[in-house]
Amino acid sequence: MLGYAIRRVAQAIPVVFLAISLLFFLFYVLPGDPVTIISGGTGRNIPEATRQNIEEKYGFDDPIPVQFVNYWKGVLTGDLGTSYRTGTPVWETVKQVAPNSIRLALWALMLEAVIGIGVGLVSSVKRYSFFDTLVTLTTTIAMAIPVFVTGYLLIYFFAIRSFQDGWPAWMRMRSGGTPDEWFLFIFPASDDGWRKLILPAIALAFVQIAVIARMMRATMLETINTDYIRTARAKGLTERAVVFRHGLRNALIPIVTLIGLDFGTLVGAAVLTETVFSYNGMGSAIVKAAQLRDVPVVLGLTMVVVIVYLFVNLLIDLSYGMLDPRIRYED
Amino acid sequence: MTAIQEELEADAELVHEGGDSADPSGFADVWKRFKRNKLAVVGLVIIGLLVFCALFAPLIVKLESAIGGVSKLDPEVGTSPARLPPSAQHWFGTDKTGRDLFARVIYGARISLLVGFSSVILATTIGVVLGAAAGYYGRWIDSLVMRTTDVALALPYIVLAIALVVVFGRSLLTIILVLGALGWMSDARIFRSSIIQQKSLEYVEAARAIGCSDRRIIARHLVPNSIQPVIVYATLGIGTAILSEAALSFLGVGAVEPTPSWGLMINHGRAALRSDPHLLFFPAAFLAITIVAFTAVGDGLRDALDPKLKR
Repeated sequence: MLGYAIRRVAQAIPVVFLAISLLFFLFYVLPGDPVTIISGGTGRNIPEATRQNIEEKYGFDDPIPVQFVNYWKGVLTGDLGTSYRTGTPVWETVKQVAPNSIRLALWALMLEAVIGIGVGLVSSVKRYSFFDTLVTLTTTIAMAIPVFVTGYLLIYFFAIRSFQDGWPAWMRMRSGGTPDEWFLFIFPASDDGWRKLILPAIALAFVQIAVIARMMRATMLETINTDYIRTARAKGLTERAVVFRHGLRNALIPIVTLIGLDFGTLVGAAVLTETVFSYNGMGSAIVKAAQLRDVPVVLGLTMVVVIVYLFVNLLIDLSYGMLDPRIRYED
Repeated sequence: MTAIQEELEADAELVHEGGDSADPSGFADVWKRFKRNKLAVVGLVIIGLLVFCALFAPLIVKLESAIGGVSKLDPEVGTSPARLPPSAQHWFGTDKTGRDLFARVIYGARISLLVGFSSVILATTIGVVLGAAAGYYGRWIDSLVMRTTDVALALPYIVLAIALVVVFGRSLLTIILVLGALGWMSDARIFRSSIIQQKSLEYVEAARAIGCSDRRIIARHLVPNSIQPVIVYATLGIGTAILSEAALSFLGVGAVEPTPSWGLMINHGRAALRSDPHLLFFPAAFLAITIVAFTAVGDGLRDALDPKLKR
């Protein structure tokens, strides 16, 4: 298993290297001049001394291949560079926004797991019932609704109408902002904190809840038809024990994969949700930096996102062995 | 790559596995099976209406009332008060510069469908060519193509799209090219595995035995026999492309004013969500319905093309 893990990491390294290098060269095609960005925007006359100073500090006077090598040397020693805009190390930005992203992703995952698995399970046990038909129809539609549409609907009803029309206090949410105090890393500590977090979490989880519910229904139906379930029934187990102990546990493996993969995606790709809710996470930070052409920030944050994604993927693959002892890894 | 995309890829591959028996490709048969899926039929009708709107938009509404700014030519147009609520004269109300929102939403169908269809045609063409080359020739071409898809898929889609749009400048053409350039990876993977399955079958050997060239074998024999899963994926891909265009425009790196893009309208509507929610919700509803329609048709097509895969 260790050999398998090492080989997987070795395969991932060139992918990360090439992907980030691709972005690096892409941004150097840009017509803009980074010196202008650093010294405070376009249309200003930059004194020659300042220009030289900046060029020396950031190494712009070197040819691009040299800059490229220097960038990767820095990365290998744990230095992701310095933001063109704010002058702070990229690591500071990562430390600031990454926890927010992870928290939001974890909240979304909890919703996905609980609601998705629950709905899918009921839907499969009561196959062809009214509930099942309703779930099939709504999930088909829900899977295709863009996150910013869901997001603004949630904001409009639970953060605007709920105040205007005097709905009960527990239904009044906050449409924007990031909670700033945390309890046990994941839970907002301030009284109002959860009101800021719950709407983005629902919006982010919305599509995936539908995906998981459908997947859960399909795998559960497949599992229910296997021989060992028939055996379990034949030996007189209660329906409850058959469904939960024998059916659910076996049907969960593909679901775990799906949820795990999604965590990797959610951390970095929550761009739209974060923008809709003005949530201070990795995705919106990358977009902002890309629009401002703040190359080191884009590269640094993207690298973190990509590595988290690949790492989570590896963990999922390794977790199969624990969930299902029949699975072995080839060394 | 998102989980949904992966699921779609897997689905599209499934179609192929079950699809090559007992000629399931007769048009009448496929249509008969497609009709059974009510949601897909509704989706097809919606797409038909959208295409009609897109083609005949000038007959339905005046371009000037959608774009604005030409009030000199026609005093009736572009002089409406800003932010009117929906009424008989302005069905969807007017936006902050007094443009008729209904006109903009109808013209928006044009933008969305144009971007959706052309970027998917581009992506599918690239994907089919590269996938066919990789699957048929194998060896280093295969490794090169597949490693390229790995690298491109490792980067978050939206980050890459934004980077490309920032580099090449904001315009509708850029968006089409960027979405096309980023959309081919899944097509290439699906088509490659199709080709690999097909190329060892007898009819390919027979074609080779009678002296067909590689190019002829690929173009005349392999492509028509392996194209089914790609068609399904492309239909679903149109929805995804429309969504991506809206997302980029929404984030401020897509279409520019005064292009009536739904995403851009949503972006402008968000500031006035409290006072004039209709500015956001009409374009948002059209966007959502369009994407749902393409997804439903794609799903229906997949089930219709493969009768064995009963859900």
